[in-house]
Amino acid sequence: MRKTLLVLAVLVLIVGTAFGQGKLQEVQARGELRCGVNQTLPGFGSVDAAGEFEGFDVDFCRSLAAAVLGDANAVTFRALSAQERFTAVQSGEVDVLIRNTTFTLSRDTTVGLNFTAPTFYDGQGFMVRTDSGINTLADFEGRSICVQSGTTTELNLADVLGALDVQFTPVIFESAPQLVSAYDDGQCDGWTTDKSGLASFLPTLGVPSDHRIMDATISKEPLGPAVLHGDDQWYDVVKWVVYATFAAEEYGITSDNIDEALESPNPQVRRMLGVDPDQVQGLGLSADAMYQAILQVGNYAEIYDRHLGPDTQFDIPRGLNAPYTGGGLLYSPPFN
Amino acid sequence: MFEVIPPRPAPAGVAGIGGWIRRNLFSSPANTLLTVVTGLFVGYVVIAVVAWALFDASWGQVWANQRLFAVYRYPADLLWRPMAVLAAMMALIGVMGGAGRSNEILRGLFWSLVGFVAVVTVIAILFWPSARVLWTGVLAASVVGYALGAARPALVRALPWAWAAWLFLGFFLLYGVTPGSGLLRIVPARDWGGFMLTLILFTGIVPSFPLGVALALGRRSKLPAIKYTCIAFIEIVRGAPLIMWLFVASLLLPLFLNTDPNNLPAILRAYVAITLFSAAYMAENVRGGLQSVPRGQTEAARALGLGGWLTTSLIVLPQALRAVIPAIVGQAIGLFKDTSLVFIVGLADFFRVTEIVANQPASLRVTGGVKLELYLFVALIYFFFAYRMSIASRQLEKQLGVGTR
Repeated sequence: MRKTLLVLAVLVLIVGTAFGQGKLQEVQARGELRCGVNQTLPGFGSVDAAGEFEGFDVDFCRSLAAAVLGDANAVTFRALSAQERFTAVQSGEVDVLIRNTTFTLSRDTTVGLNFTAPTFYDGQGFMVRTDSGINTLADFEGRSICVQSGTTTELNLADVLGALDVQFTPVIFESAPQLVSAYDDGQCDGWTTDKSGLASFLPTLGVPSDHRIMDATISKEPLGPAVLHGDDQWYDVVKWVVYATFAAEEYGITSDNIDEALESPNPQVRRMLGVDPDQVQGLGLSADAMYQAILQVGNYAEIYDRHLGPDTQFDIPRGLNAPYTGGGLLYSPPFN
Repeated sequence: MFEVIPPRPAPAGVAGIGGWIRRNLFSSPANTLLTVVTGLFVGYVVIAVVAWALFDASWGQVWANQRLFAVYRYPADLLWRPMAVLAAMMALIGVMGGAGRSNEILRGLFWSLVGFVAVVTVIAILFWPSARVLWTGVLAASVVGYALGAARPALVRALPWAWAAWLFLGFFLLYGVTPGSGLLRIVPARDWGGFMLTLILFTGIVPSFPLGVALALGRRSKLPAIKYTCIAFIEIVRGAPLIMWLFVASLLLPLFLNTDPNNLPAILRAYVAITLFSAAYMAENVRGGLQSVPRGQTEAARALGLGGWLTTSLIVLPQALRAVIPAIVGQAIGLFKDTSLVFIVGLADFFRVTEIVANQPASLRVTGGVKLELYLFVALIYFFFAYRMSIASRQLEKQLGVGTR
């Protein structure tokens, strides 16, 4: 029933889009971007004491607003729960979803989303107590594992441990904070979620040094922005703003030196920053869109370091999230 | 001859505090042992908790996030608006308390709330320069309201109108009037939250009351169309959890009304769900009351020549509602806590703010996190209000003599 209605809603919206204006024009006319984010995932999306949203995902919302509207603050953040996030995109309540959402096939098809390039390559891992004697996945035989409902992690856990024929007891929770408290109280032997999540919650445990993150990674979790399927122009805009942050890091352009980069002889840089305006204008944006995004929010490395880097308490190694030139997966197609 | 023996005091060990202790705590060796063991245990727990709260706990995050707890993202420079609504509410409650001085319940409720406001005001005067005037204003409004009510008890008759005006003007003051900037600029409902949101959602009990009464009467109607519509509504709504209705309202209401979901704030959707859900339970409570009114009452009214409406409104309903007031208060207490479920549709009520604060990077920098402190703080606030309501409910039961008739 709910599914039918959702499909209906999506259809109505798709038809509406086809006959009306696209999301890009809608956002520009409105003068603000509506961005769906998390407010309870430290490092990625949270609300500070002054009531401002902050985090890695939040900064990509700001980049997008800077590119589309010229103002990184022209964003209305809509805090979404894991359960309602997709319907919020389908019903048009948010223009873009940047809420640590894993890119999967079914979300691309049945749910009706389009994912841009992943902004964060994550993988599902496990946290255990150092004295638990659990070193490999097989050691979970007969043990219990805490997991959050409504997420891909729950499915992966069943898939992978099922394939290994490991009998374990899943202990399921509705929200991450409840889960962490339960694990900390010893209600389960292990706790599984994306490794970034494990790293960010580790400092909140009673005695952090009593716990460790296992080496095993059991899934691919590419997290990235998603928009509603069926509006190609808007999809292109979101996608290329993300690429611009990658490319800026690759070419060494930061928010500090970007004005010098405007003099760069590199044709890629000139096209991206709008010195040669045709490419960026082809997206339906003003020529300085990417310039504004990088000037106001920064390149990928700046965003990463601000929220997850060595100067933060999370200090998550770049790993797969390094540029391809540094052994990672961040690779922007050329701005030709 | 009889000699009058002068009355002697009761033997020591029977009367007074000493006697009570001996009778109840040390009457036998087993009892003594139990008392000692329990006493040690309770003492240990209390000392441990107090020692933790004073020495180990880090209350910095609770303190730093007071605005989130109170109003979530409501703009700091516009805090005078919710505070004005609060001041008006306290003034109206003050009039009720002042006019109803002889009523133990009204008086008690008023003084508890004033006590709460006074404590916060003292804190504000000491530590929050920006909120001093506002909180002092709220306190002053309560006292002025009380004085007015005490001097002119007749004001009570204007109260229903005053409350209606408060609801209407209060909404506009909270929401704002003009777009853009300025003193009365619109604050989108998605920025409302914290304890303010909990209170707003709690007021859903008010519209649910007439709805519930109407449903209960409809269920007893002789007209099949009305009767079965009401039965269907009550049973369907009661047949599914509140969390599901919150989802339904959040997803389907914009579809039914054929509107852009952004025109229909999530708070409004949650409010509708909570009100209708509460109305269905209210209807069953009221129906219980209707059934407790003996048939003879209706028949007597008919014999006197009263029509259907008059019989219901003058004879049956007053007796029925009187019988179920405690049940309704119980429902209100339940609803007060159930409002915390709105986190599922992305709203940041008082309880949800706890989790938001617990997940700020700043909270994670505190060794061991600050979850215990946050949850304890929130629990205390919830407890204060829920317990106060349950005291009022017990007093009400006694006053109405429910269960003794």
